[in-house]
Amino acid sequence: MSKPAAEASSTEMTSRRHRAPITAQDIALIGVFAALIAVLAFAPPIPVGNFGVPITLQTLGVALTGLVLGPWRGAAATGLYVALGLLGLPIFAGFVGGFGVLAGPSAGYLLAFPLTALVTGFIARAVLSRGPVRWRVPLLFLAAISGSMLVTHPLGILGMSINLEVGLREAFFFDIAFWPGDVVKSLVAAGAAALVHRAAPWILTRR
Amino acid sequence: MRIPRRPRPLRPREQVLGRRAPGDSFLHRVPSGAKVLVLALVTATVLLARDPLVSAGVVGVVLGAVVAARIPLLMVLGLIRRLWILLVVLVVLQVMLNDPLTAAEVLSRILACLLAAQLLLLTTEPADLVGVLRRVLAPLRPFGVRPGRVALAALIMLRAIPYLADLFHLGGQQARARGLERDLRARTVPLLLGAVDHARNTGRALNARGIEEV
Repeated sequence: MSKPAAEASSTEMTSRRHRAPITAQDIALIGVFAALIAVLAFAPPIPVGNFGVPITLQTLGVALTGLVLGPWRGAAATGLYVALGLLGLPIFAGFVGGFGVLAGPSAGYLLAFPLTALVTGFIARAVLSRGPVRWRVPLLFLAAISGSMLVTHPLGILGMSINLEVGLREAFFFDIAFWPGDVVKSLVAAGAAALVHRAAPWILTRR
Repeated sequence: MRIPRRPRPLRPREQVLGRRAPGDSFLHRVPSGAKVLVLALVTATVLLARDPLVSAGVVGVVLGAVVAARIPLLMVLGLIRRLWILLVVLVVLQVMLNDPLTAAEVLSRILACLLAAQLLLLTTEPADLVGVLRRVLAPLRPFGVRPGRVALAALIMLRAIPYLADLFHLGGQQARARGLERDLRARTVPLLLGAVDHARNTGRALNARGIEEV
């Protein structure tokens, strides 16, 4: 009984000095959340709200991964998803996979995902460790929307501009079409992530 | 020529990733690492050349390989059936914003890359691709990347995809039963909680096998 306790305290000591070691639990979380992004990417566009605007869910998965897993594990899960998709698994939206997506209009968005999860995760971790509990959902929403606005959309616009041979201005106007859906998805992600952190506080305990 | 009949093997339950073409052609037998390498080279060529003739040539070669390997052509072209709206929108935009020649170039480039990737996908097992990922990452070992760890996470991911897909479907049905099929939250929260639960159980299963720190 005493031996595991001593080991646990020693890992806590090291985690105070630098990052905690990666455990099998972390590997499981990374793998399962990569699968979560894939499953959400498969989902056909869902009509949402009174107007029934169809919304695709791939970026919802990325936001959730960052919010729930924090920066490093979130970026690892998203990076795993993108890497396996590029190698040829059909896990991107529309059951597409392979290096071929690098030729398509969504290349910039896809390559931006790990960085998005990193930025969202950093803000989310700060919010969860220091922010007041009452403001948790709005602040998590802020984390999700800033990851998307600071990373996903700029890189996505750049990718569209290069691959479709249009100017940055036109690409920007195509991109605006995704903004309302993005706000809805960030709201849902923030609410769901707050719920997860309340139901399963062990996810972020040592990080 | 008469093909000898073999007993049909039991089909594993693979709804999401099971788009593998039946058969045992030369394309199935080439090591998957070589196929990924060729695919990467072809994609790089098409992306750098940006020439409709090169892209059209790649499309021709891919279709030729499909016929030579006796892969049902419909399985390859199913990709276009799933994406045709996107492709039509792209062509219309290109004709509006640029000239028809650019439209042809962009369309042929995207088609060439996607069809070549589809060919790899139809002839390769997903688990083999994890092996390829492991080999690709091996040179990064000095920078702190542990390929074994990544491969373990990738295998957990492959295992989790069918489970989570079922869960998502179930969550959608439950939301519909409550009249909430347009409520994104009602449809995604069960999936997310189920995913966390699945990850917890997987982590415990690894711990139970003596795998604590990988």
